[in-house]
Amino acid sequence: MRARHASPLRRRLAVAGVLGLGLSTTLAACGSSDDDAGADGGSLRVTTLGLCNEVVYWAQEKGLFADHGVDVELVKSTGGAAALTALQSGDIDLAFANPFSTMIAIDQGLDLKWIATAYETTSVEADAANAMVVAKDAGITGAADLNGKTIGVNEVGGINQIASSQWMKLEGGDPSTVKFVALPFNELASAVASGKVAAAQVPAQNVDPELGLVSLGDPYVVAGEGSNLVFAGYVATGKEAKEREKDLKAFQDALIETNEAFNDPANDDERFKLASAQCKQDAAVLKTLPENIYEARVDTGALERMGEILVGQDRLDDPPSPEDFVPSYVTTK
Amino acid sequence: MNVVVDRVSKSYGRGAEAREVLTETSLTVRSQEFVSIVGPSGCGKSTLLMMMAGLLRPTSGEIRLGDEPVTGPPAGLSVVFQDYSRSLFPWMSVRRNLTTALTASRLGKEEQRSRVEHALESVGLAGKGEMYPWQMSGGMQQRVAIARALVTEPTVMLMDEPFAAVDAQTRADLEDLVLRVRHEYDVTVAFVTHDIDESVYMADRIVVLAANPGRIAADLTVDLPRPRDQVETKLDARFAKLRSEVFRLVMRPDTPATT
Amino acid sequence: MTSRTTSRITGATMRPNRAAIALRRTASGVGNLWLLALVLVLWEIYGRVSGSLFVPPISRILQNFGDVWLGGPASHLFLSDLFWSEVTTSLSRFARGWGLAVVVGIGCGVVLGRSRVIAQMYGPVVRFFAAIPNTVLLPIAVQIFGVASNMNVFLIFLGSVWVVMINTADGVAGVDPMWLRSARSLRVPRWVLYLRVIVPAAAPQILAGLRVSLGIGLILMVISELYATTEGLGFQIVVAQSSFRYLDMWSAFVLIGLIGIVLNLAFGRIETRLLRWQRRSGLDAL
Repeated sequence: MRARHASPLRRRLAVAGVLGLGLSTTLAACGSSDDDAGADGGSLRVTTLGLCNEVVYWAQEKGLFADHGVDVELVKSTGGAAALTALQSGDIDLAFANPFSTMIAIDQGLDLKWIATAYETTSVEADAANAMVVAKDAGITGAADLNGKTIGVNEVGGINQIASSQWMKLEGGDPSTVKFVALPFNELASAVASGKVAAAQVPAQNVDPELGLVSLGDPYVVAGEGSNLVFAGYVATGKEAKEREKDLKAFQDALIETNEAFNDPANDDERFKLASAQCKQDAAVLKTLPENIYEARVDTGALERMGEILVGQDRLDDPPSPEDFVPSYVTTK
Repeated sequence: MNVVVDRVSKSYGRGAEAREVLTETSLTVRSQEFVSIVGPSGCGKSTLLMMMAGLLRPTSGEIRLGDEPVTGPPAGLSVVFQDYSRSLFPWMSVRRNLTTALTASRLGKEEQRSRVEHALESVGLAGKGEMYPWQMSGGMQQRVAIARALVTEPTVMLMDEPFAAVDAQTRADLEDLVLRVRHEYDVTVAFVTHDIDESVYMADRIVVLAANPGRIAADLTVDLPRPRDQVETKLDARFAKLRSEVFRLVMRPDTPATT
Repeated sequence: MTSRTTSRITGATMRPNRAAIALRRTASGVGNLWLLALVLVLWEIYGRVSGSLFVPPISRILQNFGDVWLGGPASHLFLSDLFWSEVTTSLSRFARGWGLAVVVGIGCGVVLGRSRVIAQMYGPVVRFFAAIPNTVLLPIAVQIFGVASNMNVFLIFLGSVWVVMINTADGVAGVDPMWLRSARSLRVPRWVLYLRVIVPAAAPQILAGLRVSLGIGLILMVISELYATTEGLGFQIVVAQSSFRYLDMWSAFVLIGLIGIVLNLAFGRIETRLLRWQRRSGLDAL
């Protein structure tokens, strides 16, 4: 009798569980949509991923945002796509995201504007900050050897998968035969070493010869075809971009100033100390790691080329033009 | 086969808290005999039966089936419990309930089938094998329980207040049914009941127990003619006499016999 | 309308029981559905008014559902190729993981329920594992099984096995001793005692555990596919999400919800059938 009576409830719970799963992934979107998107003056809520080298920490620490007259509040987010979702619900004002995801989102109908760049990728292999890594003894020497194999990336459909696909295509492989699988950054290298995946795109410092790993090259260097690409930056909704022009401009100016400090070797000790406190890693180790290029000014040419990459991969038909999604007050280069 | 209860006692608990429900009791149920066991509540009559069934261990003394000491449920002995709804397996069909009783005896398929059919027929449930206990009335369920006890073709059948939960009309039917199958299966029966009429009507011999602690108060022979009849037998003067005798022993154990 | 009502009433007087039962069933069905209907209507209104891309109106989700998951030829039961490739992948993982959980859970549960000593020794271990959120085990599962279906199977198994085990153990420990006594007096062999008496007697609670585990297993099927996999329903959700195709994401959720409902209905049918004896004797006892 007991089980009988309980069962309809359980059935409902099971269904509710599945629906809840759906709701939770878009929970942010269900919140208020625009009541927080005030005009200039309030604090600017900016997402971070908690990476060691995010320039916003320095700017915040040194009071550079305040100097430029903008009050910044840093908010942790789990990834670019999640940040873009939170942006839409008005929970945050600036999303730390990558240009590929941003352009795909714009293509899907989201109204997004690129306010400032955070990093660019290098076009020089010697400075590579990323690597397509394989096991040394796996007999894989080039992109073509990865056809039909599984490649690990940190996020399915994310910037690294797109860069990897582009690298394969340009290096004579066929990315359509490849299966991409999502694994956390810190497990990618060991997954390659243990043979669970044939290759993975990892930060360059993860190419650990002791694990028997070798790099086939930096996909971004190849995908850039001689130029830098935009790796990450800050994105606002079209509405905010219009209403909070002063704050957003000040935010970018503060970042430009921060990058000047960052690129001055005289500040290295201090900035690695700060990074070390930020992400709980040894400053001496951090100092040895390859870094992306710190650049807050927006390279519209690079954005345009990246749009073409997406078209070439059939991820969208008509890429958004930088003229449209980079506001005119943003400093470009 | 005789069932011998040899100086058996039973206590629950240990030490100072031990409570003796049956004090040194001896009793023999002879082969083919029908013995009723009656007594006031708390006299240990069900305890005695469960020990005979090998489902309870005596604290001291021994129970034997033939010459074999009973240490667990013995082969050739079946039990019909009072609460049919908790002794039949309601998730099994009637037939399955009966074949389950046969799993211990390793019979061939054909032999099993014919035994089941025969047992069902004997209790008046021919053709009801595919029904489930929950589809049946209480009386029918107790018939299934009796069929399940008989299907193993036991030499001894122990019945523990089997008709306590059915109405009077059904009870009379079931009483006559048991008297009939007893001969058909040539089975020795020990029959615990709290119904004094029933104890007299059914038995060749009545063992009356007294309570606190349980012990044998009297052992009476029933000299009523067989076959018994619900009307004729109960009109018999000897029935009335035995009935009041047992009644006095059970209900007013301190009054001396008047005869 | 009127004549129909009248004839219904006549029917009701002729066969009061059946009509009453049918009426009650319809009423409770309506009672169950009105809340869902209300939620869907509010959803539709919100989706239309807000114009949000993240919460599209339910009508557009359903239209998208038809485009993505249906539209196959009759020989494919009108289901799309994507349905057949992804749903069969996911459900086969679910079937293996949950099936294993059922076998292991009932097996170990019976042992735990029968032996007080073993229950005391391993009870805390079981409850410890049961309390671990399964998503925590995801990285470990990937370490052990790599990028393979076995990883998903393992997670589904591990997520559902404990509730089956605990319910089985409780059910077995609570089997009416009269049935056990009855079985003992019939001198049934050990396997008959376990398979035909103890497990069926504990079935109401075992099945209650199975029903809960069914929901857990289904959710874990999806969660385990959000990561370290290259196919399946969960994977489709991730891909849709990372490319901001929210309609696709929602229709995948609708599909998962429907699968959940179908599995639950099927389970309910089986449960009702297996527990007929319990229901009837329960009514009889009233």
